[in-house]
Amino acid sequence: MRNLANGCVIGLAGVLFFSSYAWSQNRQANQPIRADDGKTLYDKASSTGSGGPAPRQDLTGFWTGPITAKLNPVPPMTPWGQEQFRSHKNHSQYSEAESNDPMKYCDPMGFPRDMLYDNRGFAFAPMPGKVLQAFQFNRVWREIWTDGRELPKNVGGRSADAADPRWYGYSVGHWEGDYTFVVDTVGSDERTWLDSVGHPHSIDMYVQERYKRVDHNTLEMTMTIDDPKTYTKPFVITNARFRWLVNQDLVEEICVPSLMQEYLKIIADPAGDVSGK
Amino acid sequence: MKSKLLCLAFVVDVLTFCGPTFAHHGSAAYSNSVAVMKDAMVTRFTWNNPHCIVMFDVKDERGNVAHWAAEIGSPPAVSLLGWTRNSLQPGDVVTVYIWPAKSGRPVGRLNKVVFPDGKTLRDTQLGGGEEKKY
Repeated sequence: MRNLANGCVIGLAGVLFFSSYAWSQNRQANQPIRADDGKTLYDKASSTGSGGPAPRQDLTGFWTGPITAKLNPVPPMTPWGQEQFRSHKNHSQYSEAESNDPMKYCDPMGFPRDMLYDNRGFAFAPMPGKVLQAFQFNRVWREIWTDGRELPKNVGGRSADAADPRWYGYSVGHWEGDYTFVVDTVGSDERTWLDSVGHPHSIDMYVQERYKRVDHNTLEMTMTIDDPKTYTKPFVITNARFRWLVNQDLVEEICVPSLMQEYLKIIADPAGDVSGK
Repeated sequence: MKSKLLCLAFVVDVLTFCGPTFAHHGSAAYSNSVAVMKDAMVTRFTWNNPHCIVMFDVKDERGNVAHWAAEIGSPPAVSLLGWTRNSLQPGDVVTVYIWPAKSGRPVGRLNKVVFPDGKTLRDTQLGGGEEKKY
């Protein structure tokens, strides 16, 4: 029966007329999910207006998005960065079976990939001396210290006091004025990818996010990457916009390793089987 | 000959699209043209991350059956398009529109399913691309 099905698809290939459009090989921007009527996943959140003025120094609550996001091209990589990049097989250019994207194994996306991904939303939750940022996807969180502490230095270094690398790094935040929250992050584990294309980063990467609350319902974020070991100059990797989630209820979406294995077995591995069936 | 007949049963129509982009996983393994499979009988429907899976049988006029599996988006994504965990039941007979795998194995990315009463459930990949309407 397998041969029969194979033969059918081989025959099918003979009559398929391939579109002149190329598949997206370097998907960078997050793609909004579009319903039958053409509305995006975030249209509902986008249609609620400003909601009034932004409160002072407050991002508390659930935000959905990115409503709009654009990942900018990365600058030229250093030889080290190029070497890392060559070893990354993303799932746009490779089949899922061939890819070595950490997501394939439900490994942590880490920071900043979880912010550059189609994360569909997150929450800011203030606590004494810190703000938690909790993500819809995989229900992971990071802590952003606001008690004035400094970021650790020499993360991953050989000295006795060097901090360990972390999947989600070390972050501190402060307000600039009443409406812009600035978050600085170091120490992201370099086993994580910067984005779904597979752009690399080093343990020396410094990331700055600037969250500007434009009004009650609108949050804009700009992220800058400075990683001289990997890239020849700092760059703004994205400008994204998020919206106040109307019902403040993020759905659950978790990468479950056993279910991922089932998906790979049933779908991805056969789809990527180029061994002659 | 058997394969050719089965193909005729499977390939009622061939439609061309712009290749879509997928929210979470890649498209490299799939053809960028849609095959249409009529009288597909659902055998299993999983409501799981990272992708829901529709498994179905397609029979040719001689009764030869091929077992197919197609992925769609995650539950949070496809639920926005009207899917529920009970959208498909074993035994349902539907028309399946699918981007088949280039590997020739009977798997693919679902484009949509159409029920006998015309009700249609689409997958998320219609978003973000310059797909042609049909």
